Amino acid sequence: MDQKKYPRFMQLPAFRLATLAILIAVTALFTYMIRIPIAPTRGYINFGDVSIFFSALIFGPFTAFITGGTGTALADLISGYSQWAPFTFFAHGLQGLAIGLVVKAGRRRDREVPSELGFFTLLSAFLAGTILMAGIYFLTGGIMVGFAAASTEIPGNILQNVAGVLVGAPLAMAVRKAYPPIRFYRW
Amino acid sequence: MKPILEIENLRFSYPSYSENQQETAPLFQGLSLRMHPGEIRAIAGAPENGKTSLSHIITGLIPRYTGGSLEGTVRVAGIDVTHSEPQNLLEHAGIIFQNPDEQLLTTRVDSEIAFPLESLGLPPSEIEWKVKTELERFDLASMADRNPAQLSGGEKKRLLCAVLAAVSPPLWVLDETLDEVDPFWRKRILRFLKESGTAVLIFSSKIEAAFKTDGIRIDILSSGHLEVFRNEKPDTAIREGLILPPCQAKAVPADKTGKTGKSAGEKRHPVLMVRNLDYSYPGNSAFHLRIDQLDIRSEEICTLSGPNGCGKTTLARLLCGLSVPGKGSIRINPEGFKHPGTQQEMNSTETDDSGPGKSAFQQSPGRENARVSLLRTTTAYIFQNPDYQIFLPTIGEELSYGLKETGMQSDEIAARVEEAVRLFHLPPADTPPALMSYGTRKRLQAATYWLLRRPVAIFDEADSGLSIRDFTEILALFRDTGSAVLIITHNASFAELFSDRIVMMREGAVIEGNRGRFFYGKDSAKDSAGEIDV
Amino acid sequence: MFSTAYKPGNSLLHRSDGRIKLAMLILWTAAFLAPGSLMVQLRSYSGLLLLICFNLSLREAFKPLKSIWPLLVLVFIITPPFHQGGSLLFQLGNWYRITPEGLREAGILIIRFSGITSLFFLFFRTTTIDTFILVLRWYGLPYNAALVITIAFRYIPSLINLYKNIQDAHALRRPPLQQGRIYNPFRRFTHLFPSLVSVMIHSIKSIPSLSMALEIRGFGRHNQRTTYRPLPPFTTVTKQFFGIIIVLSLLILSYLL
Repeated sequence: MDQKKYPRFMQLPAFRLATLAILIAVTALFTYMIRIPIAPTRGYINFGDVSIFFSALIFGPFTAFITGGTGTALADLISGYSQWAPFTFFAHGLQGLAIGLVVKAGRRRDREVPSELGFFTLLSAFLAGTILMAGIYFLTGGIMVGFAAASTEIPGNILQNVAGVLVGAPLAMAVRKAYPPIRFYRW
Repeated sequence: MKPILEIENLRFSYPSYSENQQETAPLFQGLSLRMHPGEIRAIAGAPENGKTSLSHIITGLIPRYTGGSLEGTVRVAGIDVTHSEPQNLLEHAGIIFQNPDEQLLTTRVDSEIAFPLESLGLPPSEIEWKVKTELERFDLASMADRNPAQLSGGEKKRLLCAVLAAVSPPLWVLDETLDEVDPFWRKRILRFLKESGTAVLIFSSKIEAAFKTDGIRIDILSSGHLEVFRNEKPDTAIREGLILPPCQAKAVPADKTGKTGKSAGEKRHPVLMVRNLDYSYPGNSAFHLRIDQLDIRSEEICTLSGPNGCGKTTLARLLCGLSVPGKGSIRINPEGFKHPGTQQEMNSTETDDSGPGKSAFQQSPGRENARVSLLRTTTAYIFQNPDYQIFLPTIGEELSYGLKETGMQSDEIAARVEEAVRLFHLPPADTPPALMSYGTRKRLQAATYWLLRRPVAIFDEADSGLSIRDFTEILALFRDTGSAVLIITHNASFAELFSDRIVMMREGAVIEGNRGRFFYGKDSAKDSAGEIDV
Repeated sequence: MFSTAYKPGNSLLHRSDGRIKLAMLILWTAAFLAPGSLMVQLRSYSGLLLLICFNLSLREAFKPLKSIWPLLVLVFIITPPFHQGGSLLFQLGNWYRITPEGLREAGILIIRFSGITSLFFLFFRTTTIDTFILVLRWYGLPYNAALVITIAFRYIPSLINLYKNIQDAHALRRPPLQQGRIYNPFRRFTHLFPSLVSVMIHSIKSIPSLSMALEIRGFGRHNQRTTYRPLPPFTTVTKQFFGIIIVLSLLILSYLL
């Protein structure tokens, strides 16, 4: 499909603002409402990281930064964990940014197959995102509740990122197949 | 006097998504229209003829957001809108979208009214005064701090009218806005607009009786042209399904055996039997649904109707197992299934419950699970919004999704899918559903459920977005497979046109079970009422 | 559907200006995070509890702890082994030792976290989200960012409702064997995934509509926007400003004494 022919509304400020607002709300939804139970000790993992991976894959690093950070922070506000909101913003925001940057670099590398991502790129994105997210949560959590207690959160956070990439990548592919115009929504 | 709206020789086509074509077929072919300040006009058109597109062109949203090629001139208050930005047309033309949820931006009713005034840069004291005036005018003052998303459909539309009234542009464009507003408010809004000298362009999918009496000029939009509607010669209107032909009593043709609704009434078996049903929402003790007896019969088109909030959707959700009743039972009668080739064998089963009514998605004991799941697979619920279940890349995959799970052979699935595409006038099976038009997506939703051959089909306000002809065909297809059809609507003439039987509800109870005497209640002016015997 | 912690009321804090409350929140949180003795933290926290009691109620003072008590218990159990000092009070196995130093450190962390949680609770309990966003704007958050957050809050309840409807719609398509509660996690995932795709498509399709709605309501005009219900000019709240001075002094005093 001819790129030039497609409308240029993606560059409008209103469109970019709308994209951020909706994706923030979607990330908040995924974090707040969508969860699956795992081992009885941990309880649930939420799918917020799925949404962050999705945003990074489809919309790019900047969007993933803003929507990942704000979306999860808003979810904290509405679920009664407002004390974590500022730290959540940075943890998930930088996670989204990192994933987005790695994916962007990976795309430039695999120029022949622009829509598919190599396994290596996904793995690097996962590692970058996990290290930043779990790392920031560990550091800030350590200041709040001590590093001993904060370290117990690390396995759970890693697991959330695993779910994030295992569900987020197929989700991005499925949505792209079902709604092709989304290809042009990145900036 | 300078015209407020001037369209000359408008030609427009959307860009195409396939590689073969550059553009789709032209939507408008040399359309012209002229409106003077203070004039109120209506444009009626069957779905997908371009009403929304035209309204978007007038307010500068198309081709800005869609691309495509536009020729001709469109001027609002002398300004060429095709070369302007919508935010600069704010004080000249205002539009109310068909779906109010798309237009709400803020978390409070008063902020919503204030938003465009803030954009205009008015001083806060003036904004405050205007907000207060419009809240009172549209009877929204008691809801000033509520979240707009939680208002009812009619209240949302009143809110959007209040927003426009606060800005008070000389031209209002209403895209099927008044269709769902009750007659009292419709009159009041039109009177306000007339008195304030505002030009109004009303788009509608039906030719309302109200337009005829108020002396509003009506045009019909079809095949890319506007044609004036004349009451004495309504051929085009009838052909487009905008009004009912005078001598046709029932729109749905007789079924294959030649039986019409009336004569076959006695021989129909009930499929679902509701007895002593009692339900109230958890946390909301005000509303209570109580039904002593109700039968849903196979091959019968039954309409469930009543004012907003009477419990029609609640009852429908109970019937398909999405909600669980507190007391009472819904029996499934397999003798009512006309096509025992449905995928599951069923014995007569009851769903009765001890314990308060709760959503079927919460934790529930095993025995109750089985009952609710039987109801869920007995009914097909066709939502008003067709997009809830679309998730696959092609029409073919969507249609075969449900069938695959039942273990059918793949060549039989392919044959059935092809049949469905043909009967429901769907595009080729490799088209992505998410890109299709609204009406086509609605037909796709109906087709997916039709393939599942469920004994009961419930249509929830399904007439929006579908032409009368399309909807008639769909109903006939469902009834011919032996399903019981239940239509939920608050539209009077619609119900009378399609149903063999009308069930009226009010405040959680059935007030008329078998005879179809259609009426609304004490405080609305109803346009027409009729009696239908069964 | 969901709600932030805010409940209307007429307490002193409800009537206080949001800008002052936010400044106090930040300063007091920093005080809790600063290294200090257990006594200092305790004094700080009891002061906070008194503040909550005075403004809301005794029950509300301990409400924030309800959501974090498992974490507090965890801190109590897991911190002492890493801080040894003083006589041995308790020993389990070879390496789990509790000493007064360990208890002290655990106590500090528990008080710290309880204090910060209660601070945030108190702030959002007495401040609406709209006010909060206006306060952020006053402190320098750009208007567009504030608008994004406002719109996100407007959409969250709608999305929650949409998700429930999507779950219903997908559930009704499934054959009888797959109804009811599924315990197999893989099955559960295959049931969840289509709903996620539908939610995403639906949400993304609403982006252009939202963009249109913004533009027809005048977003992006050349002129300056005004604000419907701005915060009162800061000069009118100087009286409350003294409140912050008093609290600051008390905090500093509790450190010195």
